[in-house]
Amino acid sequence: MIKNYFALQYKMLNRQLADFGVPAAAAWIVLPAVFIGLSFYLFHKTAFARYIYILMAVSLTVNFTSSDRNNFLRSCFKQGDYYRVRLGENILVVLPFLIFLICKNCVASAGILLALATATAFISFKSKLQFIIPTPFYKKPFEFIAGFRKMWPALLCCYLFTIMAIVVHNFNLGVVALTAIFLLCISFYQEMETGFYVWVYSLTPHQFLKQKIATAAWQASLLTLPAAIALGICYPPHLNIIGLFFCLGHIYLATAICAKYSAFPQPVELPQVILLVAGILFAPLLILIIPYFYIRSLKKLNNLLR
Amino acid sequence: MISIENVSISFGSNNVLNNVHAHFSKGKVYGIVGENGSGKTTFFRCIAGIQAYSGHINSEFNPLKNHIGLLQTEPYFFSKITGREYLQLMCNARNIRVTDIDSKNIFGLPLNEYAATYSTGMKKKLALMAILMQENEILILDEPFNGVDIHSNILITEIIHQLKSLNKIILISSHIFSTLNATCDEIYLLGNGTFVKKVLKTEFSLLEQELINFTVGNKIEQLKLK
Repeated sequence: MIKNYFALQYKMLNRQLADFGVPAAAAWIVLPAVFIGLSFYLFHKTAFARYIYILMAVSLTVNFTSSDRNNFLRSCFKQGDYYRVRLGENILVVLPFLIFLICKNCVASAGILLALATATAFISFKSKLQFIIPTPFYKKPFEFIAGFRKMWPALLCCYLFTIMAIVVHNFNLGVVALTAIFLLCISFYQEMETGFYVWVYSLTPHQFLKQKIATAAWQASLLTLPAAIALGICYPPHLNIIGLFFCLGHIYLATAICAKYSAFPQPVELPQVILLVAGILFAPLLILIIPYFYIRSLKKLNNLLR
Repeated sequence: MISIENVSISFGSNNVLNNVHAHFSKGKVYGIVGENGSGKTTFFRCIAGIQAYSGHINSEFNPLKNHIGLLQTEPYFFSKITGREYLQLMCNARNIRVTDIDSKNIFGLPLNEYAATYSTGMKKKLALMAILMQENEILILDEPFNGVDIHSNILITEIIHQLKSLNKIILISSHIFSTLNATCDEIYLLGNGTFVKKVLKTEFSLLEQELINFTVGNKIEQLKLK
């Protein structure tokens, strides 16, 4: 039964990859290579890599801790098998991280990671915890409200990194934190709404996109300005760089919104992601990418917003 | 007024709606009945402009979609969005200024809790509250009584009466005949992709009997209950 469960998970993962527009066989070759490449890059760039690595790996296991999911698993498996499934899942997702840590001779870190992965297998969070985190975005739902509530720990980390950047006089770290906040804002637009939530607007496609982008710009500013202002005050000679990253962040956010609706009502697929990443890596390409996404979005939205 | 002429739609080889004709006037409540899968929801989606179709749907409201409040059979709610924020979102979408939500919360919904965690009936009431706050001229209510408690059923019936007196056009689908009997002026019977019958209020009891005879037939005897 446990074997069947994991076989089913493997099938589901392959289907998700196919839905995303990636052949599963290619993904299983490319993803490990990308993982190894990024890991080497991380360890090359910072002395804190092992801690970031542990944090990343453990955060993946946290995805398995929702009470709804675990109640379902408990109803399917005997108690012993349930814990075997949970442990198996956690070990599987942290395994690449564990192997890399051991290869890097970080045995103690690997041990800590294994212990944490084992511990989270026994944790089940009640997702119906009814504590509602207040947000400053009440007047303009929904992306930033939902995103803020889901990602507040990550946002908090970004602000802590900003403070750390100021305390240890590391401007680059501050820029990374500012960029990370923008990336989190972009991630708020991952969820594709149903057609109803587009249809309901009494706007033309152009007005709809304009309103979405304007709202995103305002709300993203609320999240990024504290970090940008703090960095600006502490690093006045670097104001131009802060301004550049601030503007680029807004441009990427607007591009991501256009990319999202260029695929509507389907979720964003690989071609859109590739174009978006190309635009992020080589900003001048945005001159072509933004109009492309924008025109495609107008066409897609035109079915519901006439 | 909404005028439906020759509206057809098919999914592959399945003709869901086939040359449908209907005329809906202001200040009237119309019931749409039909078996599961008969095309009621598709018909509503065509009027709302969510579903592409062939034929013509004309109205004095232009664009029609901006005057329609659509209550879906199973409303979808984003996670981490409270009931109050949902109402704000729906009003923003129609450029309606939100005022005094709490006094309008006649169903006593926990508006400060996440809407996605509401029960089926509470979700339906929240979605209904939203389209009422949008001040729409046309209300399409796809199974508004489904999953809703008896007290709220009574309230919804009274709301529909009030909307009628405000000269709105109301279309309702329901699988509970008594709710249609209490609210509708006319009932359209949808079968084989078209309206096979239009029944006025005076003939509702005949229609109900007809539906019972057609639906039940000798099926209960077939069960051979012991």
